[in-house]
Amino acid sequence: MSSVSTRVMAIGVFLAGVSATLVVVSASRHFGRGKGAERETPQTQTAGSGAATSDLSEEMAALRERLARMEQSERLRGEAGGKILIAAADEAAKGAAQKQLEEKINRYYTPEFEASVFTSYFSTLDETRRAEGVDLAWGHEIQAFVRNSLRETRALSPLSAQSVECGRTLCRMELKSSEPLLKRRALTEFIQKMGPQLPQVSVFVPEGSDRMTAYFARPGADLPAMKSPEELVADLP
Amino acid sequence: MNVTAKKLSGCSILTVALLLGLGTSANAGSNILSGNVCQTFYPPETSDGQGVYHSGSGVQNISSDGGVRLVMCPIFRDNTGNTNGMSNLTVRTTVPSGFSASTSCIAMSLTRYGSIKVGIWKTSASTGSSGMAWGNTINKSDNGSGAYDIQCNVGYGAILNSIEYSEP
Repeated sequence: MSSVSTRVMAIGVFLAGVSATLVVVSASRHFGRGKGAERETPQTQTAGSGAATSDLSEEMAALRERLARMEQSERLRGEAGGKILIAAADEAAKGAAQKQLEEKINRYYTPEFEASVFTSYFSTLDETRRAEGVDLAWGHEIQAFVRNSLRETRALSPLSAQSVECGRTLCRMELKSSEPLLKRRALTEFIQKMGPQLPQVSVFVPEGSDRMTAYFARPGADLPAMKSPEELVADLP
Repeated sequence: MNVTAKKLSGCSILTVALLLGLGTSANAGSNILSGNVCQTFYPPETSDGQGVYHSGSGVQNISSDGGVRLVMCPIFRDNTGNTNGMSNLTVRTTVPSGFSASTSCIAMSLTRYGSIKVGIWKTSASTGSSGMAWGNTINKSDNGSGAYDIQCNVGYGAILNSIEYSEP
């Protein structure tokens, strides 16, 4: 048994004792009035026993209050401990679920899977681009900008644009690098170069290939968010 | 329950509470990196990699040819299960008086194989102090993999002071 419970019980026993004493005092006052009258005047007898009763009542009230406080403290302590343990269990469950999800993603998310993810995403963007129509003037401006950038920027020399197709807000570009080792360097410089004209970009960079596919959006337009791996593997076993 | 067991239980609860508390604080609020974490994109042997100075104020372009310098800044992901990218991102720059040069940066969220899920380009003011604010537009990240990256063309004389970011 815990020390707090022991103390609560002890106070309970003490209260019971005090109650019994009160009963005895009250009874003696009631039945022993004649004897008391021999030594005390009626007024002093009443005043003395009244004061004693009042003291005991106050003490009992204080003890009851103390007992109630202890019981409440014990209950709150138990509730707080329980809440912490429940939170810890929830956190552990979340950790386990996250680990399981990461394992699942790792199992499915291969370079081939990523290729299919980007193919699907870019197909959606193709539909959007076709649906939005063509801004011929802007499209020609972008094509010229790409062509000039590739020709005039030394760091972009390994890069060539196989195609540049623009709608009203979106442009799809197929890029090719003549030097595999410089492919990523050229891409970094290329998207920096495109920034002022085409500030949003998504690029699929397949490893082991000299090709890259990029989608750009002009200022004021947004590329829709692509799905995350966890959304894509959610329906897989 | 005896006293020892009770004390142990109390310690366990305290430990769990502390761990939960630490776990929560790691994901809360903004993270701030000095701009001096940024490295030159080109090796220092080449002229494109020279003239980028690191200091307590960040990274500054003091190139002898007066050209822009490309730097790459890593962003630490400390909530790897997050799929909503960054809830806030700001890159702060300063151009000393007497100079006029903007800095442009592209912030990106990448897949584990290095493809770009989303990249957004911004440019700073060409004088004084300014902040390029992406807000929560870099809003996608892969669960358990993939990285963030910031690539900046720092104008001549400009200082990239700091990178402020947070994850949901």
